[in-house]
Amino acid sequence: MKFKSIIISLLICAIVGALAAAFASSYPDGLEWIAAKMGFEGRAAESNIVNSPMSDYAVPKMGGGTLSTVTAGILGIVFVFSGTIFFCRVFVRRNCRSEAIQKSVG
Amino acid sequence: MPDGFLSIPVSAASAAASFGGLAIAIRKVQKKLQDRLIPLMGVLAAFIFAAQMFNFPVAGGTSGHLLGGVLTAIVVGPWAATIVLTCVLIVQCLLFQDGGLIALGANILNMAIIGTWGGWLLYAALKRLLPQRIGMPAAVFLGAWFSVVIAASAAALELGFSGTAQLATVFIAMASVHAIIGVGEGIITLLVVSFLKRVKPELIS
Repeated sequence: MKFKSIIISLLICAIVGALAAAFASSYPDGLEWIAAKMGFEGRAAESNIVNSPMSDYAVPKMGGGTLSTVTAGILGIVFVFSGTIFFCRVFVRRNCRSEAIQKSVG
Repeated sequence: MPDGFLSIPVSAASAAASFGGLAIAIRKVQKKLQDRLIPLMGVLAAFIFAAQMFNFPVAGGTSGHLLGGVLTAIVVGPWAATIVLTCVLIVQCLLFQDGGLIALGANILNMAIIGTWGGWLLYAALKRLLPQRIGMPAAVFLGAWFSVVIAASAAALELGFSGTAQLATVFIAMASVHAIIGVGEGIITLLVVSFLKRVKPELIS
């Protein structure tokens, strides 16, 4: 995959993410809906053992509006992309033809 | 799935199973990793993450969003798709608190392994059995639909075994609601696969 097509693909992801954040339905998802109907929604832990920096897809100090969600989404795309590359390089690449991959990532 | 829904034994068993599955996936991908695969996996993970943010409303006051396992598996194969989905789930859990840390193993097991593989196996079988012209779209749609239903069913079993809800009731509820949500998965997967087939046919085998 060429550097240019990676950038174009990530831009498409950013547009998809921004549209998704702007138009997402606020209805509960399937599991939350069933949990509410069956009366076990209250068991859900309010927070993780470790605090997430952008819980509920909102950037701290930006409030809970659409702009905050869009920003969180775009930051998320950058983190997911680089995190996956990192994961693959650390855990998957170890004993395979590494020069070829290094070249392709640039 | 947030923390609190699953018992500690069920969370631990799911985490062990997903760890094992992930280890196998890593081994398999290592064996035939091609140069193009790593950046492509990164881009796919970013796309699945972005698309998962879109919750579409489903009749009756609930909503669904893309899982993306079958979509990813069609492009990079099911082993690499397991890794891609796992990376997405890890970031969602750590950065956005979308899914609990104790439940992370169960979420990986349900979506990255059971959903992705269940859906992909049905897709692969249908693609082989049905005639080419209607076979491909039907296989894509049904495989994607099934991935959501089987992932939700696995989650229901875990909820039942944890004693959170009565097993039969939660199983029927989860499977039937996700049978509707899965239609959205099928449509989105079919749209994206058709789009990729037009602009980048070499990506779709």
